Parts: sequence; structure tokens; C-alpha cells
Amino acid sequence: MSEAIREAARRALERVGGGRGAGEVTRLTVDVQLDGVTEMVTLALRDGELSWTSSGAADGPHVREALRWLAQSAPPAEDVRASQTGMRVTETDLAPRPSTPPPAPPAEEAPTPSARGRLADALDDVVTTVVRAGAGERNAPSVAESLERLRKEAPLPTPTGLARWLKRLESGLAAKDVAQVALLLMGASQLAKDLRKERPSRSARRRVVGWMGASGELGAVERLSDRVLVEVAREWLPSSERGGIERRYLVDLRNGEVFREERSRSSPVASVGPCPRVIQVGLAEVEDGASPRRIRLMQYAVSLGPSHDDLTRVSSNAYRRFGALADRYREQIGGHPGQSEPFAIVAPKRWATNGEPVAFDDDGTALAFARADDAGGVAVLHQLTAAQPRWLGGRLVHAEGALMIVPCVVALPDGSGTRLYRLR
Amino acid sequence: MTAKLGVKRLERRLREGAGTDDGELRQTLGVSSDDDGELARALVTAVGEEALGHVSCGAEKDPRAPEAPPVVSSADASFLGRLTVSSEHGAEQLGVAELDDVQTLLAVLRAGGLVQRRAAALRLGALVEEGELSNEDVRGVTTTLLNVRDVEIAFEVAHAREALPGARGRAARQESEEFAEVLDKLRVAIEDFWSGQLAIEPVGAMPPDHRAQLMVRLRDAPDVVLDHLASVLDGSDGVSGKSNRLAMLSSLRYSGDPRLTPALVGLLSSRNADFVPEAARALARIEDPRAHPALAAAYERSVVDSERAILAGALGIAADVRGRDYVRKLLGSDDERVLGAAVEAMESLANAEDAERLVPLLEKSDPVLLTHVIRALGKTGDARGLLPLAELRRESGLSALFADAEDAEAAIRALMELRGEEPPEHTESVDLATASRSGMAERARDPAVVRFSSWFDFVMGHLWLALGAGRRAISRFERAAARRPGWAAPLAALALHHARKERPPQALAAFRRALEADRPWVEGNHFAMRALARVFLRRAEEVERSGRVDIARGLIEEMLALDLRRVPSELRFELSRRQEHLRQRSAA
Repeated sequence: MSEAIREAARRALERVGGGRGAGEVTRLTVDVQLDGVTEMVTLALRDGELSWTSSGAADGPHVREALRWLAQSAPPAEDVRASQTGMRVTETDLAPRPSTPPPAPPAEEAPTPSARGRLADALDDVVTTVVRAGAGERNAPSVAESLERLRKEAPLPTPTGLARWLKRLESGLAAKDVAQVALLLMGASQLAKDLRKERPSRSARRRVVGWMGASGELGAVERLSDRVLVEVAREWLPSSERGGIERRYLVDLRNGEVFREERSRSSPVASVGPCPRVIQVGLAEVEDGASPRRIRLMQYAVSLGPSHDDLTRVSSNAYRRFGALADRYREQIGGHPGQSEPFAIVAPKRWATNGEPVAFDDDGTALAFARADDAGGVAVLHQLTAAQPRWLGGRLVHAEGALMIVPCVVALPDGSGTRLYRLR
Repeated sequence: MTAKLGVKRLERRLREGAGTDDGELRQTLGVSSDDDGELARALVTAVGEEALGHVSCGAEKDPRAPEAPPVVSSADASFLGRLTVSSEHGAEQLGVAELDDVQTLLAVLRAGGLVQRRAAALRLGALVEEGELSNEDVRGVTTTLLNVRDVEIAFEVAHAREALPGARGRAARQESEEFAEVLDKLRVAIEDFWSGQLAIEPVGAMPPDHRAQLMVRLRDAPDVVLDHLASVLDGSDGVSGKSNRLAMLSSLRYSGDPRLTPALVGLLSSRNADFVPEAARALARIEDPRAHPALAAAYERSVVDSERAILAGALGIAADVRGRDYVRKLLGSDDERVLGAAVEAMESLANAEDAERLVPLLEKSDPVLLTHVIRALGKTGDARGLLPLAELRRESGLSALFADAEDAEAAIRALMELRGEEPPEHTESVDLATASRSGMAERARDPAVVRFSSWFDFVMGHLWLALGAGRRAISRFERAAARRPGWAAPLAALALHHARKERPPQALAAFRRALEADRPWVEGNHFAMRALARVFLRRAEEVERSGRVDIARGLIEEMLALDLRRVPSELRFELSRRQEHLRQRSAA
């Protein structure tokens, strides 16, 4: 097949004309068929290094076949120079490269002069500068300078994870929220360490994916198919990029996992459809990163208005004990400090309104609403508590040791059914 | 306890900066090297892990101070300044919902803030429904509700009209039933769109008059329509381009539906300069606690004068006057865009001190700007605005401004009345009936035989129409019109027939002939003006779709040059919205 496709390409090239031939291929996606199984492999050249992703195993036989095919199609080392006639002439000066064992891997955490290394240095610089200036100092020139350097070293467009972190750090410094700043810097420090690793562990790779996205990260993407997701909420979050990030929360009806889909001005492509909606997923990519995991819908069908059954299935996975919610929160933030912004569906046992709404679980434990993050949304929720909402979904935050929820959506009784009301 | 004190000390070091006394800190954190980076990493890790380890549920309130920006309201101790929607928040406050005096409610309906006017319309409807008003009061309420042209409260007025007794109430209820049918069709179309059976965005494909009706009565629409509209606004419907999204957004200005708040707040957050002003206009008119914080944040971060002025005006609608002084300064701007935005903002921000600033602007020639100035003058409640308004009506000859001028005068008088002041005697007014009578007198000079034959043809035309013989009817109407050139009725009947048959070009031509024959009569005819507005809108949209933007703009401006006092508020808004849209397209 490989030879056949190459031959077909040659014929096609003759037919359409060769053109100037001065372009450069930096990314290609190939379907590789092996033993009756087809997988899609994407290969990309970044900073002189080849990286790849696959719909199957990241280091499986399909990837090796794709690499073999690409390596065979590449001409041997060559010297290209201009001929006197102005035509491009390719001459092979060197013998085929002998197969030699690869050089010994550098020691883990050894700094590399690559873009990743420079980014890691910039992150460390931010951590050191903020600690020197103090987390209660919002306008320190040295901090602004280090953040500027970080922006310069970051890939363009700034990955959404990093852009969001930058804004959260600025907000934390402005609010003089030392605990928040410490967690964010802890995450940055961890990322710097991960970026320097030549052979990162799975957890390190997950952290990098959370910050930088999955492109180019080996095995960072999981394929998802034949699933039904319900988009329950979407919200705009500030980031260092103008206009911020639109984040959508999609609940998998099979296991209740929440995914996030994001778009921003620099990466505006996202799935179509209103909120709420039901999505029949034919094919999707899920990044193996911070919770909620980032999803890209590739083949899907949308239908409006989730049914009562769909919403009942969403609520069946809701947290009914807030103690468990706090445990999960600590676990997720601890795994990805500075990146994870957990979203949860909670089903309170009862509601109280002592000036502002409070939810109580089966044990009588309270869950407060993050009024400082969205006073308007909490005020609307206050008005809606009279209708005894069945459940609500929101982003979890904490301040001064108190776990709180920024309410994004509330499920209200509607006759015998349920109606979703967006708060953000 | 000791450990806790240690952590507190580390937190303090992180807050104040770890630049001095490194030795002790390094020792506490177990850092052996002199590397500052290592010290910083150890410190943030210690503080971060400690903070995270103590996160738990149980708090009933957010320990942080609320971030909601305060409403900067003007100190208005008058009756209107203290009037709330309902007095439930405190016995000291007066609530519109508790008012029983019809005259006061009518004055609030004309001159109150948006929330007060909405409440007054609903209260009037409720009073009529309760059946405890005198006949005179019912007549007064009926006349006012039928003549009110305020598109901002069109939704509430439409519902209040349903409570009216007799034919007026039946007509309003029938209108609601027709709207329900429009909604049913739209719901099916939206479902077809999302299931892939329909390729065109269904709201954009509606006839413009239906769309205008939908947008002002959106609060009656089911969630599915709102969800769909929100997806168009945020660009996730997959088919609508930027111009379509903008057109949709501008038509939602008076919808007032809280279900749109998340999408509108999202547009403000996106900081897209094309969307922010329109999103602010729409958001300001939604009674929702989420609206004010979003508008205040957008105002504080905005640096462009025209955008900031519109945001200040939007805050003014939400009773926040923080931008008033800033907007007043912009009234002297030479930049027409900034001036337009500033005057528009004054529609909600102006008070009695602003009449002197606004009156000189009545000399401007731009009719759009003049409309805003007139409305802003109405907001001042200052008697000094009455005379210039009367002069403007007398001298400008722009009948398009009659409706706004009349509303502004009524608002000034009502505001003075609510403040306990005595409004001056009525100035001269251009009475439609008087103008119409002059044409009537002229026509009365026709010989009796001519008049009789024309009437005969006119009646026969209607008879043929009732029997479905359109051609014969047209022939009769034409004959009647030819016999009496100054008589517009047969031409209007002809135009209405074409309009009913969905033939906008022919209807347009017939309406033009009717206007030429007797413009005051047509302008004073409720049915003719409503149909005329629809025909112009539909034809303009057809022409625009074929790419002839300037011709479409010409049509809309021709319609806007007429006296629109008999045109329903949603159609008037749709006309001015399309004028603005076509102006922008022409400029582009």
C-alpha cells in the first residue's frame, strides 16, 4: 500500500505539475492499515524534532510502520545547491548513514537548550521573582518583567492552560491571596521540572499536557467513540489573552466524567451547538491532562434539549456528600496545581437562604457559593432556591480553607421533567 | 500548634518576600544550597501543600469580600427616585405594584425608569383585569395602552392590553395567539436546523416583521428558541457569519430576557469591539443581578470613547450613573460617532441640569442624532425643553420626528407632574386629524356625482375582494382613484391587497401613490401604516439580499421620513435598526 500510494502520488504530481518545490512539509497525517486494523498517525516536525500521535497505542506497530514509511520516502543525506541553469539539483555526497546505537540518554532533568528548556527557565524565574518580591506585592516591576519573559518564551499562540494560569496568577497577586499564589507557583515550578525531563513519566507528561496542550506529546491523546455527552454549562474565563477562554463542560452519560472543551480568540475552533445540548460522539480526542480533561470533538451529532432521562443520568453521578467532594478536589488540585479547575455536579439534600444561598448534603455539611467570583450568578441562584433545584453544576474553588462552588448551571423541576437554567 | 505557627510564618514570608534572613528560612524549609530558585520552590510548595491540605466543606459563606461593584446611584429623593417595583424590601419604600391611582401610574408609564415603566404597564393591566376601575379610568388606560409607542416596554404593554375589555382586548389576545403560532413554526424550524434538515439559520430567515415581533416578545418563547439564539450570538451555530450575528444581536436590544444573559455577558467578556456596544445595550435592558457587574466591569476596562459612552448609558439604564460626568464632557465632541454615542447615553443619564447642553444639539441635521437628542430631552423633565421641541416640530418638517417629539413632551410633562411641579399649558401640536381634515375639505369640493361614483367603485372593489376576484377589485380601486386624484383610500386598499398577497413591489408602488395623493391621511391610518412598514421592511430585505444595499437603505430611510406614530413600536425599532445596519454596510 505504501508503495502504491507513493506511486499514485508520483503520477498525480506529473499530472498537476511539480511547481517550484520550495515548500516544506512539517506535519502530515496518515492512515496506517496493519493486520486489518487501521489507525490514524499524525507526525509533526517541531524544533527539528519529530513528534507523533496515534489513534491507537503511541508506540504501537502502526506508529512504527508510519515512521518506517516516512524514513524510506526521505532521500538520503544530501546536498542541495543551485546549478548554473537555475534548476535545483540534488546530489548525494555521503554514503547511507550507518546504523549506530543511539547515544546514551542524558541524565534526567538535565537542562536542554531547546524551547522547552528556555520556557522552564522562564517559569523558574517567575517563581523566584514572585517569592523575592512577595505575593502581597501586586505591582513589582521585577515580577512584571519575569511574566513578560515567560510570555515571550511561551509558544504562540499562548496555550490556553498557560494563558489561564497567567491570568490567575495576576488575579491572585492583585487580591494578595498568598495561598492561591503559592499553589499556582507550585504548579509552575513542577512544570519547569517536567519540561526539563528528557524521558518524562506518565504523570509528568499529563502535567505538561494540562499546561501546553497535547500537540506533539507522545501518547497524550486518547480516542473516544460512541459516547453520549451532555453539555451542561459553559462559561467565559479570563486569561492572559484578550477576550479570555470560553470553556464548555460536557458530562459523559456512561460514567459521569466531566470533560472541558475550550476555545479562545487565537484558537476559535470548537464544536457547534447551543448549551445545553446532547452530543452523540462518533470520534473525539481527549487530552490526558488536568481535570476536567480537555476534549476535541471530531465527529459528532447534536440534538437540542437533554431529555429528563439524560438529566437524571447526569444527576445519578452527582456528589451527595460534600466531604467526598472536598477529598476529590484536594486530589485533583494536588495532582495538577495551577492547572486543574475541577467542575462538579452536586445534588444537595436541602437549601437554606440566610442572606445568601447555602447547600447542605445528606450529612448536613454545608457547601458555600463563591460570591466573590460571581456575585450576580449567586444572586440569581438565591432567587431560584425557592424552586428547590434538583442539582447544580459548577467550578470548584477554595479560599481560606473553605471549599466553594461557582454555580454555572442549575437543574430546576419543571412539572414532571427537569429544566436546565444557565447561571453563567 | 507549633507547626501551625510555622506555616503562618512561612505564609508571611511569602507575602512579604523572602529576600532577607534567608538562613533561618532555608533551615526551616530544609534547603541546603544557596540557590534562590530552590528556596523559592521549597517555600511555595510548603505553603501551597499546607493550604490545600486544609481545604474542606462546611463554610456557609464565601470568606472573601464580595466583588460585585456597587451601584453608583444619583441622590433622587423625589417620589420617582424612591419608587421601586414592589415595596416588599421595606415599608419605607413605595412600590409600583402597590399603586392604585391610575393617573400616577400613567405618569410613571411615560416618565419612569425602565423598571418602573415595566411595572406600571403590568400594574395597569392588573387593575383593569380586577375590574375595580371606573369607566373613565378604564378609558384612560385603554387610550394610553393603545397609543404607547415605547418599544422598551412593548412586551409588558402587549400583555396589559390583553386585559382590556371588548374588541381591544380581543385583538390583543388574538395577536398573542398568532405569535404562539409563529413560535410553534419557529420551534420546528430550529429542531430541523439542528437535525441537519434545514441549512439556513431559521430566525434570520423569518420575515422581518415576524422577527421584530419575536424579539420584543421573546420572554414568551420556549427555552429551545433562547438556546438557539444564544448559540447564534456566541458563534456556535456553525452557519452565521459576523454580520448575521451582529444583526441578530442588535435586534435583541429590547428583548429583556434573562435567559440571554450568559450569552450577552460572554460577548462583553470577549472584548470584541464590534459586539460590545450592542451586547451592552441588550444586557442593560434585562432585569438580572448578573447584568450590572458585567456592565460595570466592561465600563471600567473600556478606553474607547464611543464604546465607553454606550456602556455608561447602559449602566444608566440599570440606575448606575457613574458615567454621567464623563458622558457630559463628550457632548462637545467633534467626532460624530462619539457625539452620537454620548447623546444616546444621555437618554438614560440626563437630568434637569442637562437641558441646556442638549437643546443646542437640536440644530444638528442628522435625523438619527436628533432622535437621540429628543429622547434625552424627554428624560430631563425640564420645562425648558418643551419650547424647542415644539419649534422643532413646526420648523423641521421632518414628520419622522413627530413621534419622538410627542413622546418627549409627554415624558417632560409626566415627570414634572410626578415631581409635584405644574407643567406649562399645552403648546401647539400638529394634530393629525386637523391635517387630515384639510385634505378632506379639498376633496369635498369634488362634484357629488364624482364622489358618489368613486365611493361606489371603492365599495364594489371591496366586494370583489371578498369574493376573491382580485383583478376586478383592482380595476374598481384604480377607477375610484382616477376619478378623485386626492383620495388615498382606494390606493391604500389596493396596496393592502398586494401586501396580503405577498407582493411587496406592487404594494410599495400603490402605497407611494397613496402617499402622494394624501400623505396625512395615510400617516393617520393605523392599518395602512402598519402594512406600509411591513412592506418597506420586506422589500428592503429582498433588495439587500440581492446585493443592492444602497437601494435597501433608501427604502428604509424613505419609510423613516414618514410620521411613524401609528406604527407599532417593534416595527419602528426594526426600521431604525435596519437603517443603522445598512448605513454600516454602505460605509463598509
